[in-house]
Parts: sequence; structure tokens; C-alpha cells
Amino acid sequence: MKAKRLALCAVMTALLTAIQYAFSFVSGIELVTVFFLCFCYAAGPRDGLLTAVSFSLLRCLLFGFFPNVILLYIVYYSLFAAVFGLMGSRPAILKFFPAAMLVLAAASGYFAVKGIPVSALYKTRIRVMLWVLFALSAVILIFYLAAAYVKRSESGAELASVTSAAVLMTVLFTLLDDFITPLTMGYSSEAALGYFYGGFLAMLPQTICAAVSVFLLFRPIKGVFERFLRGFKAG
Amino acid sequence: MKRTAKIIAVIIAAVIAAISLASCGENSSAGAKLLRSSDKLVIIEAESTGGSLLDALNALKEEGGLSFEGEDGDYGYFITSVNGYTPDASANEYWAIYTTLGEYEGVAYSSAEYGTYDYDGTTCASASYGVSGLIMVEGEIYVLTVETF
Repeated sequence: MKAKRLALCAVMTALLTAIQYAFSFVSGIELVTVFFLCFCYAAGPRDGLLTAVSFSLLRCLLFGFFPNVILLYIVYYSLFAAVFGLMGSRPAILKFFPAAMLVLAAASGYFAVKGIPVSALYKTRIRVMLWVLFALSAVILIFYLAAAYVKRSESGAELASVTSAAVLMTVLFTLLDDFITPLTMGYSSEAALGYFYGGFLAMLPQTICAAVSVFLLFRPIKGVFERFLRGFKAG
Repeated sequence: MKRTAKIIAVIIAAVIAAISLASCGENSSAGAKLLRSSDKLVIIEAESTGGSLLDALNALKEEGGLSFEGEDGDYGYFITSVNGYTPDASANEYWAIYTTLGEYEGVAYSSAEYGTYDYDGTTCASASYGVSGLIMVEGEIYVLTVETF
């Protein structure tokens, strides 16, 4: 790998760490997803994977070294880099994600109706957020169908697909955490189930934030990265 | 496509407003009696049902029974100091919460699996929620104490 590609990944790692630190003071808001997504999409899976691993390790200097968190970040962001890196180079993958949004819409609708066994103080908030996630999933799916089959807009279909993938990956982050943390901390099955339900409190705002931020910022940020990378390759 | 994007932007704004409204109005004042209050230990008994432990702490703070600081996080309110004592992070100290409140209306609010605290012969179990997620139930005991991990 050329030195300038390494430098590029190092700069991106620093940018992601700074973004995560800056927004760690604002509950429910995270912009690492949209920035890293656009970088992987524009730069490809190889640079994305290198950045994912270095970000997962170096962020610990600010947030502390916890084995379960390091494992979670390395597994999740490597997968994230692979998914969005490949999405940028192989558009055929794009079609899979809007279809998967159907499953997410069904799951969030199911839990919104059924309710989940969490503290009575959180029930209303979680139920409203589940309905919001249901509505967002449905809207993104409708947007995709309108863009792909009615308007025949490739960029619209691409935006809906990437937003779908970002939403699904954010949900996957919590599901991976629900698996890795109880496993590494030795939780009983009862405690692991409690951890799973408690995770909704953090997952729902993050997922909604990912949907909104990616939908609004994907095009401009991807454009900036693409222009930068074109100049980078030429130089 | 621009029109569709505008409609979606309006829907997004509406759902954000809905979340904000849902986050409000869940707190109510809670009657609580302060049984003990020192720099590393606070024990409270709920005198009525309703509201969160955070509401009770705020009410007791207003009455001058104790002081505390904290911040909102992804998992609710996080206590950083009580009665002026901030846990020593380098010594792995933190504010632990215990309660006699076990299962209530089908939800487990504590688990002895992660530790217990004895107060005057009453066993309190490690809380499953932070101060903003623990509901106040009349007669139940709530303990905040400094521990190490």
C-alpha cells in the first residue's frame, strides 16, 4: 500500500475519532455512520477496512480500553467498511437493502404493538420511537419504489438503498453488542435478555439519527470525498 | 424527486417533534424519605408510588437533604457525583445503585446476580436501571453507594 493511502486512512481515522468525541456530549446524535459510510463508498473496501480497524483501536485512547467494546467495534466497523465499500463498487448489492427494510418495518411495528418489558418510565418513549422507526422504514421503502420503478431515478434509488443499509447496520450494531457483551461479561440468559431490551433505549435514537443524517447528508459528503479522492489520485 | 424529498423532510421533522414530546411528561414528583446521606452513601425510602429515583433525588436536593450532579446519556441519566463526592476513575470507583424493588408489573428492576447491599437486615439487589429508569414504589428502599469494579 502506498504511503499516501496510509496517510489518507490516518486522516480519516482522526476525523472519525474527532466526530465521535464531539458528539459524545449530545445524547442520541452520532455522525460517524454518515461520514464513514461516505468514505467507504468513495474509497472502497480496502481503505475502509484499514480505517475501521485503526479507528476501533485508537478511539480507545479517548473512551477507554474495554475488551468487549474493542471486539464489538472491530467486528462491526470491518463489516460496515466491507458492506459500504462494496456498495460503492458493485451497485447490484444496492437492491438487497430496501427489501430488508420490510423486515425491519415489520419487526418495529410488532414490538410497537406488543410493547417490550422495560422500565415503566421508558415504555412510552420506546413505543413512540418504535412507531417512528416503523414509519421511517416504510417511507424509505416507498421512496425507493417510487425512485426505482416510477421515476426511474438511479440517484434516488441509490439514496434510498444506502439509507436502508445505514439503518440496518445501526440496528446490527446493537444486536452485535447484545451478543458480544453478555458473552464476554459472562451474563446469565436472563440478564442477557434484560440487556437486549435495555439496548432499545440507545438503539432507537441512533437508528433514527442514522436514517435522517444519511438521507440528508449522503450526497453532499460523498461528493466531497469523491472530489477529494479524484484530486488525491491525480496528485 | 425534489417534491418527494421535501415531503420526506416534513415527515422527518414531524417524527423528531413526536420523539421530543414523548420524552417529556414522563416525570412526576415522587415522595421520598432520606434515611441516610453521607459523602459515599445515600439511602432513600419511597413514601409513594410514581416518578423515578431521579425525581426523588431532585426533590430531596431542592429540600437541601443532599446534592448531586450528573448528565444525560444514551441509557438515561448518569450520576457523576453525590454530596460532593466524585468517584476516583483511576481507582475504578463508580456510584452503584441497589434497591429492594425486584419485579414490578412484569419488569425486573434489580438482580442479586450482580451483587447485594444489606441495610439494617434488608437485602437490596443491584439495580437493572439508572436513576432515571428506576420507578419509585412505596415502601421500597433505594441505595446509592461508591463501589469499585
